[in-house]
Amino acid sequence: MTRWQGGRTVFRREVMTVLRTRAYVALGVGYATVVVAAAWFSGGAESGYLPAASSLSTPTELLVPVVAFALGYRVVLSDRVTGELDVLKTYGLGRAEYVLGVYAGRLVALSVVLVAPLIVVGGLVWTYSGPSITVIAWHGGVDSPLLLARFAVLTVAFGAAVLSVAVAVSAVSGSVRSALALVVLVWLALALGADLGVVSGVVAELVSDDAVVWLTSLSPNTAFRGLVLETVVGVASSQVRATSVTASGVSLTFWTVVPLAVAVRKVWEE
Amino acid sequence: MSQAKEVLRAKNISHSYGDLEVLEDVSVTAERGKMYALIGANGSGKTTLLKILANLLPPDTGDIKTATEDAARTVGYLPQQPSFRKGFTVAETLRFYTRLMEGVGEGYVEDALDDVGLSEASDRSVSGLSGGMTRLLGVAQSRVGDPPIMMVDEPTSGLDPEMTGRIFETLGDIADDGAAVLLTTHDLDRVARHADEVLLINDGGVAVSGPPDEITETEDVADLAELFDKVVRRRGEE
Repeated sequence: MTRWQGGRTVFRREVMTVLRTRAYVALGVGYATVVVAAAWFSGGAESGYLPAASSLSTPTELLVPVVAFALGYRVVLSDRVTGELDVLKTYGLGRAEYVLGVYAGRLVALSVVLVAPLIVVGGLVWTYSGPSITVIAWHGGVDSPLLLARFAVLTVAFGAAVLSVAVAVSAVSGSVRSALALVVLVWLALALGADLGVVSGVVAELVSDDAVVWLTSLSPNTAFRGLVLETVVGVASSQVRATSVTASGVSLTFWTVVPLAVAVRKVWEE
Repeated sequence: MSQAKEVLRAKNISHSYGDLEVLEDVSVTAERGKMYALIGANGSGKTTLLKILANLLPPDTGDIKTATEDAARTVGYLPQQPSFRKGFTVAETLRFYTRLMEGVGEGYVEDALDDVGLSEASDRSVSGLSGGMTRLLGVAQSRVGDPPIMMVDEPTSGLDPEMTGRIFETLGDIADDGAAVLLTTHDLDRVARHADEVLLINDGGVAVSGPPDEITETEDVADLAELFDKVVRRRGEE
């Protein structure tokens, strides 16, 4: 077996698994419905690409972890429980090939789930917000489809980071119950713990104003929120200074790479 | 490895789970063309030994050598309760494993399913297979790449006598084709009929080993069931 032949084979199986699992398809349809409905009923879809992206920021931050965890928290665990990992090892499949194949397959599925409703939202904006938006803008102050595209890229990057955490949880868990418990704990820590920590630090005057800009990049959630504010919403207002783009980018990269490395290390002993 | 037929030699294998020592100084050899049955009480360490011999679990101490240099895949493995990805057909499932191996052609899937008697179930979903058919698909999976050593963990547990016989016959055919087949089982009647060698695992070691007829004669018992009772009860009373 060539080095990545196994990884490609695992990748293909993961994509097909998601496509053929009704629960995952239902999850994707449900997510798309909520996103499109949020854009429509908030009035964002009728107002423009930037208002649409702004109206979706919070729902996305809340729902993407749910979808990403649902797609990833059992993937390695199931293969371990059924003995599939032992079987795959006898084919000479490497840990990195397996984990990256699984991750890439699920990421493709997740990306489709996350981007498809945004394309629909973009179509709604194009249809209902009038003929005035025709400029692909690279500078501030002009609404453009590029802003929604940028929001889509950030959403996928956020999803990639959370999926990586989910795969790591799956790789270190011995049972579905422990995986679920770990997923809930990790989600609470990332979604609430990071914010509460920063707020507590500010209230206790332990954190300076400058440091807040960096600390709000620590978790995937806050990094995503900061990047949306800086690179999407910030186009409309040059006064928005929510976070450091560099720090948020590094944070999302960290939360994507490090959990995957943990998963590769823990999936089985070599 | 002195003899050409010998493909596996494990010496002084020991393994513990925490403070519980499951295997102590176990040595096993296996030759091509033979079926070896590892029997013993539940929790005696059969599955642990099988996984160690398959290089799926590192032993605490001991040494395992295999003479399979020219094989694309050293060991074929069938877990105790094989379970395949839902949403795929039998043929698609087997094709997934063949794609993990270099040089296994597309025609392999058809031939392998024919060998285990699953040709007509080729397009059926794996979710719709009976327990016995799932095991047969597992056997077909374990043969991908033609490994010279097969490790099969309780392949007939929970199966009816007809399917049990089919599984043993299939494994016997694989041994006849030149592989060393090592299996764990509680089906002592089938072991007596099909196995070339028996290893009775008890108290962390191989209590008795040899061809079924020889060890029943040596131990002065009517059959393997009586031997099992004698050894396990005797050791339990000590």
